[in-house]
Amino acid sequence: MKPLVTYLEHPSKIPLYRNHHFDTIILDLPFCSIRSHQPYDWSNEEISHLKLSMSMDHLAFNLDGIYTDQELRIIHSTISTRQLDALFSICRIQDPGLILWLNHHFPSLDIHLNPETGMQNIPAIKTLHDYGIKRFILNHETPVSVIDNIAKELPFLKLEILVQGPILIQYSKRQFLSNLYGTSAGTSLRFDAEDKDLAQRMFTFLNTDFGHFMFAQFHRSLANYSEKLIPLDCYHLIDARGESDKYAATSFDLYTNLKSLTNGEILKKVYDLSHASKKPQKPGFFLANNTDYDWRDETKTKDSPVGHVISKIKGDETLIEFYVPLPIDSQLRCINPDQTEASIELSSRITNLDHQPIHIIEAFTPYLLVNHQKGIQFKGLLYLKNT
Amino acid sequence: MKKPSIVAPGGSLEKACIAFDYGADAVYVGASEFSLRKSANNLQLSELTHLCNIANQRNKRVYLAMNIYPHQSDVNNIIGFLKCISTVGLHALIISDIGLCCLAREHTDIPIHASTQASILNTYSAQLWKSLGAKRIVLAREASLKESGHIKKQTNLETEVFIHGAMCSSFSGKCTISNVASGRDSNRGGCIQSCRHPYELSNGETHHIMNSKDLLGLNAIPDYFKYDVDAVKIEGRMKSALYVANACQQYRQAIDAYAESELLFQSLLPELQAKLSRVSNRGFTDASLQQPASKSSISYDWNGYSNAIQFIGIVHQSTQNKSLISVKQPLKTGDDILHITPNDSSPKKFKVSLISLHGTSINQAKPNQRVWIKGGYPKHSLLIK
Repeated sequence: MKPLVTYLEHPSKIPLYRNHHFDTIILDLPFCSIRSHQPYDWSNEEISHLKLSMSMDHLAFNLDGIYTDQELRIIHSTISTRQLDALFSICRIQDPGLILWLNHHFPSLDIHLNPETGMQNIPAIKTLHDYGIKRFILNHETPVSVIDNIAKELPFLKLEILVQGPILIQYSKRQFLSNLYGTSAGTSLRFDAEDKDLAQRMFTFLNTDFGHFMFAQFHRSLANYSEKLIPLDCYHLIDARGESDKYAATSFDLYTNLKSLTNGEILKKVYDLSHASKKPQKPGFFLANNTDYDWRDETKTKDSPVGHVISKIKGDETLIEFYVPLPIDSQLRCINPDQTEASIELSSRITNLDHQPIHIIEAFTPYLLVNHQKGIQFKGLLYLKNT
Repeated sequence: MKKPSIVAPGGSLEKACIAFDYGADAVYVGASEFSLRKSANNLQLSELTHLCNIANQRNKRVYLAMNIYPHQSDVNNIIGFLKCISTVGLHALIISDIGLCCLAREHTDIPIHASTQASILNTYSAQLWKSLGAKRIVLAREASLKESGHIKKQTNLETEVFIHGAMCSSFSGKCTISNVASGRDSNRGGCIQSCRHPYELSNGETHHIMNSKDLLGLNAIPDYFKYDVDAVKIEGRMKSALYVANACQQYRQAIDAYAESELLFQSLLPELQAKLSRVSNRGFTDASLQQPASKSSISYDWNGYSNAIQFIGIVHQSTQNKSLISVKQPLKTGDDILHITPNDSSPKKFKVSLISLHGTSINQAKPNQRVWIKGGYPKHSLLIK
């Protein structure tokens, strides 16, 4: 079984959580945690009781915002006054700058970085590890092949991935919903919302005192891909915040026993999760991330263009411009925006704007291509033929 | 009085040169790879070299935006690309990813500006970038001018703050809506601007929930001076040459006027604001420059862009009696149009007389066509209606 990590929203849920073993429990604290569906102000006694009753060694709090200096001063004062750094052993951050802040003010806390977006390349992750990150929560755009690669390249680094729960896809400091509806501080607003320009995608909007959060139209659920998930050397994060007890219990049971469950049993539990959350359960980008794919890249040449077509109107001369000086007898090909290609014979056809023949092509000077040239288009890029 | 420099968008080589002509001190441009504006006419390496030469001759600056969040599979290509650009003469690289920053430090000597995509909102974040080698930070859009002044004092880093243009409603770099909604990576140049879409909420209401108005920092110029901002940034590498020229021209005038006297600046404000409003915009807000952005920063019930003028064409070169223009909208011989020049922002009227590249008189020209018009107008004059 892989070590499980999860959030706990309220002391009343402790009995539900006590039946399972978690490596790390994360608490949202209303003065600093940005996206609680149900902000609850845990007292120090309740935190101590939680540690004791669940025999928790690794208790984390979420410092997951991007804060101003003024906000950090308030957070610092609250943590110090309440001596929270003695109750928690871990702080989870989103803003890498807080590594320096924590090292300065609360050096006893281990730092787990959840950058939410970006930073999915080895140089970035390694650099942040060198700054003192103990665990790195990989973002949801990182596919299994890259996770595997990172784990192999940086074997000393602890990695964590979200295996079950909603995917945050947008974070704003502006409060779109509470501004619109005039709700008071301390009230979280939550709506499902359909993008009217991309119909039938039902996103979730959450508005807290810290801003606006948008979640994907599906939940990330990796249980169906256990053959890829289990071999990864990662902590498994379950996010059941804002979901029902049934969703939480099913998730905990599913991922605790993932190795021993049959495919049929996994399918049934994933179906239950879908039913409980009313959201499709999908792997997201876990299997592959093809967001880089661009059909234009398929025919893209590695050569550097030497010029481009700046005007091409039927019945008029074509205007071209070069990026580099060229001999007049250069053989060119033009790759058009629609990826079609045409050859260009220059020597007898190129003139300056006054229709005078030229002997050398200068860079960044417009030239006329006299007589109609078939197959070349506006914005076509010119390449030397023999390269 | 030290004036903040104006950093303007250079969506293409020509737009970059136009920005210089209309008052920008620096431009930020994208190369064909690793920039967030995939659809802009990003610059080829030879164009970058040419632009840097032009900038150096005119005592201007060229910053290359490499502000994507690269995937691991990009790393080798990035190293190759960094080696290629290391000798081009760039004045800075704008970077948001910590890994890319480290690679840039290792493979080039080009100064680094931390991008607004890095969401720098506090001193510690700024300090982290300083320790990584950044010389300047482009602050998060959520930072106020006062906060930028505090961060500058604490870190001694150069600060750059946006002053004009469209805004992400999210923390820049913290949005992946396009990734899941359309399979295009928001942070690698594929943003489909889902934040501009209308959303039907589960209560039955439909609103443009996240549709931010455009930033207008004109009125806050005294605070840009007060908090010692080193550079003000104009958004818009995808915007038209008219937008770039107009914004550069008005902010150049505003900053120069304030440096001369507050009274002069105040007397020019209404005219400058009117001129900034004449080009296509989504309504204006000062966002978080003074106070956290409020309800009025969002166009919940969006009715389309507003603009007072239409962009007809640009003059590319001219002789004493004719000018070569590129046409942006259908144009006919005999049309009454206006032109503004780098030295005069007040439009002047004239009647169009079109000549084809063949040299014959023609009655009309189509968008994207280059034609001659009678009359010698300064290079990069803009034709409007």
